[in-house]
Amino acid sequence: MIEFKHVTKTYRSSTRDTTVIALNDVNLRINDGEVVFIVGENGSGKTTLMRLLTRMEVPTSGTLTVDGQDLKKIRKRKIPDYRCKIGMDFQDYRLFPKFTVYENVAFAMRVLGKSSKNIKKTVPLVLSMLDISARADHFPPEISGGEQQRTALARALVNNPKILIADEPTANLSPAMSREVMDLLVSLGENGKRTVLVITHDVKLISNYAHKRIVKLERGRIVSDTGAEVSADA
Amino acid sequence: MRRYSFSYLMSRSLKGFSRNGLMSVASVLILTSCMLISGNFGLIIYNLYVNLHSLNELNEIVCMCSYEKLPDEQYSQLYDRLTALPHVESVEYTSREEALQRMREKYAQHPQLLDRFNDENNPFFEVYTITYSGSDRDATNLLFTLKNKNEFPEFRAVSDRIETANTLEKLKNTILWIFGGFMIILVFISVVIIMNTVRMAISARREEIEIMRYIGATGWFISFPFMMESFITGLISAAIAFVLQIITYDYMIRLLTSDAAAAGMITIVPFAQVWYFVLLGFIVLGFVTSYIGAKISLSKYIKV
Repeated sequence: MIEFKHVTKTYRSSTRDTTVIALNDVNLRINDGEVVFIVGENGSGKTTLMRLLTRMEVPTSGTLTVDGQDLKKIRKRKIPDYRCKIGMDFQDYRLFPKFTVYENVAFAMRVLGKSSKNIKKTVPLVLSMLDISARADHFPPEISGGEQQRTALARALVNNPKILIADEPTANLSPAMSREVMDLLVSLGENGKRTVLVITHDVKLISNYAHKRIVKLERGRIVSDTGAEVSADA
Repeated sequence: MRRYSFSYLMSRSLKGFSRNGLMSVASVLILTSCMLISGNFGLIIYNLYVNLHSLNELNEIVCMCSYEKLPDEQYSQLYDRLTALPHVESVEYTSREEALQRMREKYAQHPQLLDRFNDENNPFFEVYTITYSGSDRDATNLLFTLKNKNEFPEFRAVSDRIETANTLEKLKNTILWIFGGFMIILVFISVVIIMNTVRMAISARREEIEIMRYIGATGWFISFPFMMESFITGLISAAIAFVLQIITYDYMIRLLTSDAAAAGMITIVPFAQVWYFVLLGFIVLGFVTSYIGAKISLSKYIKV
């Protein structure tokens, strides 16, 4: 379970010598296996939320716990182990252009010191699950945007994370491709075994998933949180 | 438990080193120069030390007579007076002819140097070589007595190793101080260069590092290639500096031994006798500067 309790995050602007409030007293609880859309305009605090969850940043005040573990108190050398629980899918895919699709996905396993045998067994399975096996030997610039997004997703999923965070996954895709990717993301959390957080500013696209939980951020505050039955006590 | 394949980590390091291109080359060149300067200083100091050591082992005072030839009676009197002096172990007399002959033997490879001299035109004086025992203080006292014109008016000049040794000692110490100063500056420059190279490498791979952090890479996994790249820089520099050191030392020897007089006076340590020290020194210098430089940059620019 992910729990934000009165989380505030401020940044010091070095150029203007002012304090910018990125998140302001945020309270949010996300249960295991939920699929949650976090929506908001640019500067609403979506990225800060994601950076706090991945322990790239720590809250200025308040507590953020994941599975009961306070991320502020986590020991420095334990941070990489914590991050293994999370799969990140980036807006700009962040694939290595000189690695093939297969190598890009395998890289995520290599980083965690997985054996070659395990890599050879797991990577083709994930590629096949995301329907990009045929592109395994291609380099990212040789494949379409949708395929690149699938490769990035494969990389995020290959270590079987408990939480999947997709940061603006459809930002660079056509409407048709966006819908396809969004469906895929929703399906990845549908068995209830994985928590999926989709961060986006595309409210129109999200309207297709009105039955799912949608958290709306505005100027660092949560202004609406649909799906009351799962978030009532948040 | 994370188990990383060493060959995979090494291949990443080598790729990183080649990717840095010109900056890697510049680091290697600067580190090589630093090592070469250090190597030359070190070898000069070692040679001075060897010469000083052999000089210290020579407990001799050489007294040159004022006369071309002493009468026999005076000779035996002088001999007795010398052997009666405290701490004198032996006294050896060398005639002018013997002195010339010894010089001819010493400079057998350069006979032209002494061609114009013969028994009639002999530049050497009669010499008494006194071997003594005891401390440096005893030697100084003995030297003082021998230089006293009232006691030994027969001698025009008295020389011993103490004065020469003192001069050499001063020279060695001066060079050692210069060397020390240079070493501090050179190590500092090398560390800064390595720091800068690593910083640039980190900057060039910022995105890659960011992805690795998100995936859950440990600080060690992220830092390892940069540390190895620095070690590779240090190792390559050590290898190049070693080859250049062989060439420069050989050149220095040839330069010194081309002067026949100098060749006879000084002892030059052959490179074959010291090569392992030089190589080890270069490798240690390479590793230490690489480690310090990389460590500073990594702790400053890589956050887990």
